[in-house]
Amino acid sequence: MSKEILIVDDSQTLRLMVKICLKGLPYALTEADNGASALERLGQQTFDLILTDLNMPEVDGFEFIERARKLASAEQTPIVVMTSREGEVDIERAFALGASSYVHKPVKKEELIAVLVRHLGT
Amino acid sequence: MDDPTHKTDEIKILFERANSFMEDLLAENKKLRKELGQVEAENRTFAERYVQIESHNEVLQNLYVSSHRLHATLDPNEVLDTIKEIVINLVGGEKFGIWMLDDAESLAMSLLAHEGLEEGAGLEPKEIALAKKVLGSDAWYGAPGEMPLAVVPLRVDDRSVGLIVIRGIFGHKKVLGHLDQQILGLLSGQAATALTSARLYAEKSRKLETMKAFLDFIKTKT
Repeated sequence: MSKEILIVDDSQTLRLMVKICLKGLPYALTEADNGASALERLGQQTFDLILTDLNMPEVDGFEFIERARKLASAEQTPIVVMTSREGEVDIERAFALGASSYVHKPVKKEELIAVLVRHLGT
Repeated sequence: MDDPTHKTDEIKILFERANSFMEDLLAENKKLRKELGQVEAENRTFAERYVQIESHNEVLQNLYVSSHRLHATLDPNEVLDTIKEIVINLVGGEKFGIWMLDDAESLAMSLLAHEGLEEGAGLEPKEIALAKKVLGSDAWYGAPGEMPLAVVPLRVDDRSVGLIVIRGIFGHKKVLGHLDQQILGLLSGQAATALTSARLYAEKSRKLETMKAFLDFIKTKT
């Protein structure tokens, strides 16, 4: 059975990229183009894993993680941050708010799949 | 009573057999080692080929995404955003600008879009020199640590209409690799075309709207 993944990123290019990376693998992808719509989706459905950008308009990645962790549907869900920022401060802040791990942008298929397998076991 | 000479001969024969058996084993061992070496070499070749295919797939995948996104809209602003998204998300560009040529003779250019630069930023002297070079040929890529990192001409047909200059990439990336250069190569050939098409379409749409309004106006007057 497919694992449900929610991807949150305002870049359609990146979402398409991840979609293609995961094509043919047992993952079903749901897209959200910002933190607010992702929180809405979390109110309707539970996901096995959440992939999120940090730098987004309106509700950014940090606020999204913080608010998602307060929802019963995402309290325990692994949250993987996709970051272009090398600065450890950002990553540490994301971890402090509840992120589980991170991958670098540009996202490499190998790195992405490794992190998914680590969290989802498939 | 056993004959000691006979016993010695028997032992000698046994030793000879054992020796021959050991030689056979050693020969077989040598043969197996050779075969194992060949299998290992084959495995290495397969592994290398797998890595090559994976890397090739990654190139194709990125080119597909870039191409698909570039031609997914006819809104000039969206095309520009897409070019920026590709440079950020697929190449890892942190500081870059997209300059369009205002005048081919004087090389006057205006900054159309950027990431991490100041509004209205111009080209640095070295970039102008490189621009002169690349506008008539292929992209230029700097050595690690060199500034800028890349100067990529934007072409419509054989005519260069602008440039992408990359001044910085994400910290965890050391250089612009083969894959990055492939994506920038695609942008060189397709970004300006997509942008020009979108601009022409927007212009035509505006003219069409004006004509429609004009015709409606005439209709109401007659």
